[in-house]
Amino acid sequence: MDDIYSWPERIADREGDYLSPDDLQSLIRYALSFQERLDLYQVFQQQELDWIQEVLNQQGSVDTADLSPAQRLLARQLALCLRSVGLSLLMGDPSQLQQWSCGATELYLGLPEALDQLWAVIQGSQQNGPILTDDQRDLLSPYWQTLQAACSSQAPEAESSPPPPVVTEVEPAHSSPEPALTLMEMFV
Amino acid sequence: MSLMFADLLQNTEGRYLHPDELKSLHDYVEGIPKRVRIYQVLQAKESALLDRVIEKFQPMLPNLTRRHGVLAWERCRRDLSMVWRYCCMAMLLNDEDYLRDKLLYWLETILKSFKMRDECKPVYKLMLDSLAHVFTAEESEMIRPYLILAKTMLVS
Repeated sequence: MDDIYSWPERIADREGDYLSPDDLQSLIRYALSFQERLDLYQVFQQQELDWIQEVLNQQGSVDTADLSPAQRLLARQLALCLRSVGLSLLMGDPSQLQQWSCGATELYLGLPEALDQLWAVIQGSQQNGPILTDDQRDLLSPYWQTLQAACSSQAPEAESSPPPPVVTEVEPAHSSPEPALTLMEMFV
Repeated sequence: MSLMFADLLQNTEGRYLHPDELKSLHDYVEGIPKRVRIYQVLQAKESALLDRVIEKFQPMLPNLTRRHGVLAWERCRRDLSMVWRYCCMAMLLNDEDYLRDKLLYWLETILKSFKMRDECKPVYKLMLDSLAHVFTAEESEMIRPYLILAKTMLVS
């Protein structure tokens, strides 16, 4: 997909003039790909908890009911990452990801590495085979890379950084009737 | 993209969209191909519309160049073109707030400060009346609400 270019930027660039034919074609392509985006968004919503649990398991947490504060922080930040990527994907607008911040007072130190693990899980390293189709993975990939770049740029260098935070407050999420838990409800 | 997109992005950080929000988004996106098609027609026929409007407007203001200089009609057409293009973008985005925020609040101030509202009043009626002569009914109805908004804010 070549839509990894924010719509607000396109429109701002053309202020007072018409959108270019290329931009209009891109807009139509976005519209035609919307159902695919929506399907993928709903996969995120359905699989979020399983994917995060898989990452926590890979990091040695066998009992997700008994997580340390730092592990809970990681779980919440991974959930926020998934939700941010999902929303940007749905909107066809990566600009929010380019300026992504976890919204918490502190970034979990190992988040970039955990995102790599999460990406591997999403791509289908589970025993039951891939959850995403090749097309879905191609659609998602540029958004994920944008998030990873933003996240890496915010992460402090490991050598000069303090240890991972033990307890951090995360902004409370809006309540949702969806099956997905709010960030505050996750792993508590 | 549109204000609806911006609102969703701003208000839903940290959670998944509710079904009603997804439906609103889906409804808008479903209409994009039609909006793009109409946008392209509105763009292609801008000159035809403005030719007709200016031709009918000039006799109403025979002293315009004497009062505002030799470039007065050129500037009039430029301003109408600007209003038209912002209306077209607002139609594409299905977003009246875009038109208000990006153009009308500013242009309203300009017209007031130069005391041009009364002079400009007929031209927006001419634009609205000319739609049916240049565009199909469907095309006219898609752009009409934005032109009416412009007329209301700028000269009513």
